[in-house]
Amino acid sequence: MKVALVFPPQGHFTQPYLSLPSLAAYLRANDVGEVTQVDANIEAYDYFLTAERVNRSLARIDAGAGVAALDGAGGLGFSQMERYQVLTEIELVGAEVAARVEEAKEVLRTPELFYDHERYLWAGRTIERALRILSAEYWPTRLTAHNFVMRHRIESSAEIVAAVADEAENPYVEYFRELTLPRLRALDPDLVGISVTFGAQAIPALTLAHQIKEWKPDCHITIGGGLLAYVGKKLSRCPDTWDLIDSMVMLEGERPLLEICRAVSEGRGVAGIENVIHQSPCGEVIVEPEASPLDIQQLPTPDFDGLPLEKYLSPELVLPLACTRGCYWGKCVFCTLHTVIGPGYRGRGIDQTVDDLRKLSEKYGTKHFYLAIEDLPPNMARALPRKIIEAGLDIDWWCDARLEHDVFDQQVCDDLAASGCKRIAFGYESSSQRVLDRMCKGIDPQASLELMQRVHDAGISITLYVMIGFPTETLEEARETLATILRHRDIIQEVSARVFYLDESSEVYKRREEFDIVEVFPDPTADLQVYYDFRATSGMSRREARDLYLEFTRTLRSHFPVFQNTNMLYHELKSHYFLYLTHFGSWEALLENVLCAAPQPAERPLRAAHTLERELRFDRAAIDELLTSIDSQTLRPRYQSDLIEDADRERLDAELAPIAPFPSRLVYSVRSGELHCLSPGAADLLGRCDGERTPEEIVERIPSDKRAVALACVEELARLGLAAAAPDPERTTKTEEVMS
Amino acid sequence: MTEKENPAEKREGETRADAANPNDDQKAEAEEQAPAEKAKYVFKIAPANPRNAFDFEDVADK
Repeated sequence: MKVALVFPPQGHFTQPYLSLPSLAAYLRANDVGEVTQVDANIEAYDYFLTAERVNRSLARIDAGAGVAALDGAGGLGFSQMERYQVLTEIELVGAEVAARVEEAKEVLRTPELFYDHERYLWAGRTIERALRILSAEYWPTRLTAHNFVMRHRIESSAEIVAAVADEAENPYVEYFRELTLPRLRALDPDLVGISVTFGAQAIPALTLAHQIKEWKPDCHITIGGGLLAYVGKKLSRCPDTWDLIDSMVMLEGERPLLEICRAVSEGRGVAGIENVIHQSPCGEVIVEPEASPLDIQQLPTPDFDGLPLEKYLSPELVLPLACTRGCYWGKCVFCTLHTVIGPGYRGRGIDQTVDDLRKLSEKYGTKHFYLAIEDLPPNMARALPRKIIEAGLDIDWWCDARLEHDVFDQQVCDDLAASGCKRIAFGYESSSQRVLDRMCKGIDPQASLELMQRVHDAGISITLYVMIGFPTETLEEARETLATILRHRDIIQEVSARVFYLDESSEVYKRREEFDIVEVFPDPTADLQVYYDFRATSGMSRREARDLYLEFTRTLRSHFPVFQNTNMLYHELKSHYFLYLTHFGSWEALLENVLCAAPQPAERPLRAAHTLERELRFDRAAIDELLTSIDSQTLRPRYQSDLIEDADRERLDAELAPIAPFPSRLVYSVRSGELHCLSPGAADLLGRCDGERTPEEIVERIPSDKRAVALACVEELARLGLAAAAPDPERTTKTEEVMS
Repeated sequence: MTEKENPAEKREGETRADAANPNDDQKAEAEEQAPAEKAKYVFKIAPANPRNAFDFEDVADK
């Protein structure tokens, strides 16, 4: 029997996920014929980020014609501004990005280039721009390193079904047809299992299923994974679903997938297999009973064989490993983990975990691990580090953990650090004891700060998860959380903030009257909806929560080194920040050597950097500012998507006054990959940076009452790297050598 | 599109203000002074960012 396991787009591109290797190991251990793993996510990114593919987009977009047409308009309305923003960038940088996008991938895959921070940031920016070019071809679809969203909502089965064949807006229709399907044809599987963990994978997963069904109708297609646990039953009620797939696996996938393989191999149906949803021959949807949780101590070590490990965009392989399933605490009322993984908590043995780490380290030649668990249980926090040390394992690792005040004493923290733990992400949520009690977090915020100090003292980087807008939480309480985090930013390196969403499988939803929720607003057109907008009689409103979230992000960007200077764009990706930590050895070293580089003095004569430039008839900066200002105040809420809906676009087109022409200059720094919009005066100053004039001389012809502003502008040009001190021939940096 | 190693001379005195689009004080001031000449005293540099290119939340769940 031949089985293909597919991880569809879109997930992040820095490391493999654990779903396929867990399933593949289980099937192989049970002698299920030939099992092939296909990470269609990394393969799609790898292909989209090629000169050939970017050039194809550029030819289809024809940005020059688009900009010329818009420049001919007397003014730009909302939709035109959106297009202007996209097309002016592509017209200016498209050819450069196409020519160098593969170099950018190599930077991320090559240690000596990856850890050169300047090169790293250039590579990240170039990759983001390449993805924006691809997205523009499929506008308004947006594919980034972090997400994939289409006009078609994943909360609606009808819209998902419409998306799977939407050649104009779904980039994966063509991609799968040209690259994935030929590969599957060569494999000729009897069964394809598609793992769907994130919402962003829903449309690509069913797009692929649609194409497989058209090619080989008798190939059994089963889909499973975290997202299905939430929406599987709802999706099963949509008749069109059963034109695309044959079965769905709910909760843990190992055992039901094995049983499905056996059923397909023996030519029988899947009726009677626990955790499976399928359709009977007469069209009835059958939801089989729920299986008891797996004993994970009986599971084999994940098997990454067959995955294209060289393609992930990291210089060193970081492998995920799960040593627990479920959460040992299991009381937080906002949590929906039980929906995904089933009830109960199970741990793998500590010796077994050390054995897994050793096997994976030796087999794949890596020392970097992400423990993909909900939280590090107390017994493991105490014993795992010493076992790792005793076993002589030379590894670095990170994980999530609960703020267990009695567990993380200084000895445990020191042991964790000595065992290679470089980063721990804690669920902090709030600094308010009242809010934490309502969440049933079971933690004391003051004791949490003391715990964090111990973790920090041990040399471990701290990430905090924070929730904004939990029902009954007031604006004052949330602002105090932010203030507390700021006061302790010397020991906190990262903060991951998110707005509370009311999930229908959470305790908060089930007991919503206890949280003063008096109204829930289901969308009648969204049959797969699991998150609801709501109204409560206490605490902040939803709009206030969104606004406060934006306040959080602004403050974090301005106060935390990891989030400043666009560092955050790429460091937050799981592997990259972690790898930088391991490479530089400590947070302090990373801070000193990378994140807080000394500002460049601007006394010497300045020379304009190597740039690409274009005069624009409209002011791009004003357009950017205006478009950025349109957020939740004007748009309808949509879970984890800020894509503007058609109705909102029509309204904005009607309501917003067209912007009038005003000249500006778009300037792209070839060295940094950054794009800036300069006003006429700023562009003129940049033009005077000829390598001969000092800043004072550059502004000397400016009227005296405006000279100070002009001088500040020149300093800003230098700070941004658009102008630099004329080079000293005695000094050549490593980066300059690489660039040359 | 133009590519330049050092665009100094070519851009000297190139700037012009076809019309005003006042969104900040400097521009408003330039507009009041009316002549196109005055637009070159607007000294503003902004990162050319596409809207919402990144959101913390996108990353949190992956």
